[in-house]
Amino acid sequence: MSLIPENLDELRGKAREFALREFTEEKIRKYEEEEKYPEEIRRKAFEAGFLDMSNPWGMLVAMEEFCRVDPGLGISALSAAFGSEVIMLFGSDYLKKKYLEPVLKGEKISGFAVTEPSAGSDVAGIRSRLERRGKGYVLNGEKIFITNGTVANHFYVLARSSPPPSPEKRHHGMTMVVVESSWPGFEAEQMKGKLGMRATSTAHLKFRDVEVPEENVIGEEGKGFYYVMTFFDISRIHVATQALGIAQGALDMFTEYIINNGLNNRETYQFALADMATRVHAARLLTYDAADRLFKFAPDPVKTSMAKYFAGETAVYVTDLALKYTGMQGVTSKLEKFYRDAKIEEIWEGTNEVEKLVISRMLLKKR
Amino acid sequence: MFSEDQLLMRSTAREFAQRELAQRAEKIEKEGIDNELRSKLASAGFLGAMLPSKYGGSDLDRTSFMLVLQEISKYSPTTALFVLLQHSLVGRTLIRDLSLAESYVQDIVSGKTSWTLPLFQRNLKLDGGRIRGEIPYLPLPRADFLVSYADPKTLVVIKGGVTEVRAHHSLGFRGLGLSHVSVDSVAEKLSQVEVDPTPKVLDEASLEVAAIALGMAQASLERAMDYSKSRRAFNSLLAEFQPLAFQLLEYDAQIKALERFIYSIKDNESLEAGEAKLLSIDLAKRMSRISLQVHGGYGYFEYTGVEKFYRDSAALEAMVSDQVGEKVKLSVLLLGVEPKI
Repeated sequence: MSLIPENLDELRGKAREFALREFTEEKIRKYEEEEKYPEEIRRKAFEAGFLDMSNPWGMLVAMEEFCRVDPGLGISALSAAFGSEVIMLFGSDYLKKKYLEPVLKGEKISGFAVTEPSAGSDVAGIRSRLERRGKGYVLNGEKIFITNGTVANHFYVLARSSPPPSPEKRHHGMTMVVVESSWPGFEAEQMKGKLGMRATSTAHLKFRDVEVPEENVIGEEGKGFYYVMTFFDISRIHVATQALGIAQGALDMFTEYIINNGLNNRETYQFALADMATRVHAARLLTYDAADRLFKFAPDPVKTSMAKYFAGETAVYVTDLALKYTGMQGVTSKLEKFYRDAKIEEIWEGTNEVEKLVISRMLLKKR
Repeated sequence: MFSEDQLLMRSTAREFAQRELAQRAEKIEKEGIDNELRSKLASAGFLGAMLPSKYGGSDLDRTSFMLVLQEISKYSPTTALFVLLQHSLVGRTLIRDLSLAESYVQDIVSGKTSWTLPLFQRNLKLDGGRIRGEIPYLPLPRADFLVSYADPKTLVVIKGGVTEVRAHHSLGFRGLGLSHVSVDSVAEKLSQVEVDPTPKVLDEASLEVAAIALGMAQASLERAMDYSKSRRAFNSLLAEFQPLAFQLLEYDAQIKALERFIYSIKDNESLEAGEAKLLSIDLAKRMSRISLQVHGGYGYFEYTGVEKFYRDSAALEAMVSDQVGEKVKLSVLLLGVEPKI
C-alpha cells in the first residue's frame, strides 16, 4: 500500500518549477536580510493556484516543494490563509462570507493568535480576556510570535471569556473571535532578529480595549480551546510538511556536494547520505499517512503528532549532518540558512515535548 | 585540577566577560570587535597571555589561556575566537621568526594593530616584491595586517592591497566577518619558516578550540537551567518536569567529565587533544540545541542570547576541521592504519 497518492506528480512538478523560478538567490537573501514579508511572491503563488484549500494534497505538496527550495519564502507564500480552517469548520455563514471568502480570493491575509508571553505550549494558560460589554465584547491582552502578525488583515484570537471551573478544567471558558487589524486598540510590532525564517512576518500583538462585535465569535462561546486543538490537527500536518521540505532540500544539497566533489565512493559520505535519505523517507511516510487520514475526514492526533515531531527532528538532523560534512562551503552556502530555518520546526505549532505528550497520553487513554 | 594562579586567571577572565561582554555581545555580532574592546582585551593581558614577556606578553601556561578562552566564550564566542586568532594563530606564528617577532608581536599584544590569516586554503603567489592571489575564507577581512604562507616555506606579512570579492553569509562568528578576498600587495616582510604550513591553522590549537567549545556548552547549560527555574507551564516550573530535569542532569555530567578530560591533556598535537576538540564541539552543538529548545519561541530570537551558541558551535565545527581529514589523522594515531575507504 502506498501512502502517497499517485496523481501528485504533476502538481509537484509545477510547484517545484514555480519555486525554482521565483525563489532566486537574490530574492532569498533580500527578504532574509530585510526581514520582509514577500508580498509579491505570495501574490504570484496565489495567482498560480497554489493556495487552493479545495485541493489539500495540492497545497501539501506545494508546501513541501516550496520549502525544499526556500523555507522562508515558501511558508510566507502559502500561509496567507493561516488559521482560516477554524472559520471553515466552526464559523457562521456571516464569518465565512466576511473573512474566509476574501482570503480564499487572495485579497486578504489572516493570522492565528494564540501564544502569549507567558503561555506557549500551555495553551490553557493564556491571560487575554474577552469581556461582555453591551451587545458585544471587549478584548484585552497580548499575543506573541504571531505568524503574519504585521501583514494580516484579521486574526483568529483565543481569549479567556470566563474563569476556569476548576484547576483541572483550565481549558474551559475560552473563546475564539475574529479581530481586524484596522480596529482601534489593535497594535502589531514586528519581532526582528530571528535565527531563521526571516522572510516570515512574526509579531507581538497588543489588544487594548478592542471592541469585538458579537457576530465575530467563532462557533460557540467557551469552546475556543477545542477549536484550537482541532486546528492543530490540521496545521501540524502542514508544519510536518514544511520540515519535510527542508530536510529534502538539505538532502538535495548534500547529494550535489558529494557528486561535485567526486566523493561518491567514500563510505563516510555514503553512510551519511543513506542515513539522511532513510529519515527523510520515513518522515514523508508519517506525514502523508497523517494527511491521508485528515483528508478523509478521520484525523488521528497521535499520527499527526508523530509526523510533526519526527519531521521537525529530521529537518534539524539532516541539515546538521549535511553541514558537518560540507565544512566551510556548507556554512557559507544556502545550507546554513536551512540549518537556521529548520530549528523552528521543533518549536512552533507545538514543541517536540508537547507532541510527545499528545502521543503518549492518547495512547494510554485508549487502553 | 587548577593551581591558584590559574584560578585567579579564570576569575579575572570571568569578571572581564561579565563586565565587558555580557551587555555588548549582541552588538559585537552586528558591528564586530571595535578598537575599544580590542584595547581592553589587550589591557587585561589576554592578547599576549602565552607570549614571551620581552614582547609584552604574560608568559602564562596553556591552561590559564584556555581558562580565559572558556570564560570569554560563555558570553561571546566571537570574542574568544578573536583572541585565539590574534594571540595563538598570528602571534605564535610570528614568533617563529625573530625579525617578524621584533617587528610586530608587541603591537599584537598591546592591541595596537589587528591581524588576520586565512583559515583554509589560499592561492597566493610571490612575484618579485609583490604578492598576488585569492583567499576564499578570510576572517577579519578588514584587519590592519594579513599574515599568510605564499609557498610552503615562505611566510609573508601584508599591509593593504586586500580587496573584498564577496562577503560570505556565515552561519557563525558573525562579528568577525568572513570574506573571499583578492590580494595584490607589496610583501611587507618575508620569512623562511621551517614548519609544516598546514592549511587548517586551527589544527594547531586543538585544546584552545576545545576550551572555547566547552565554554559554549557550559553557557548553554547555565541558561537552560536558569530559564527552567523561572518559566512556568502547566502550573509548574519547567525544572519540575522529569524529562527536562534528567536531560540537564545528564548534560551537566557530560560537561564536567569533558572539562576534566580537556584539562588533563598536556600535548596539543596528541590523539587526546584532537579527540577533546571533536568531543567538545559535538557537546556544544547538542547542548545549545537543547538550550534553544528549552527557551521555546524566545530562544529563536537573537536578543535572548541563546541562538548564537547554536550557530557558532556548528560554524566552529566547519572552521576547525573538515571532519573527515581530522578523523583520518586521529584514526591513524589510534589504530596505526589509515582508513582510506
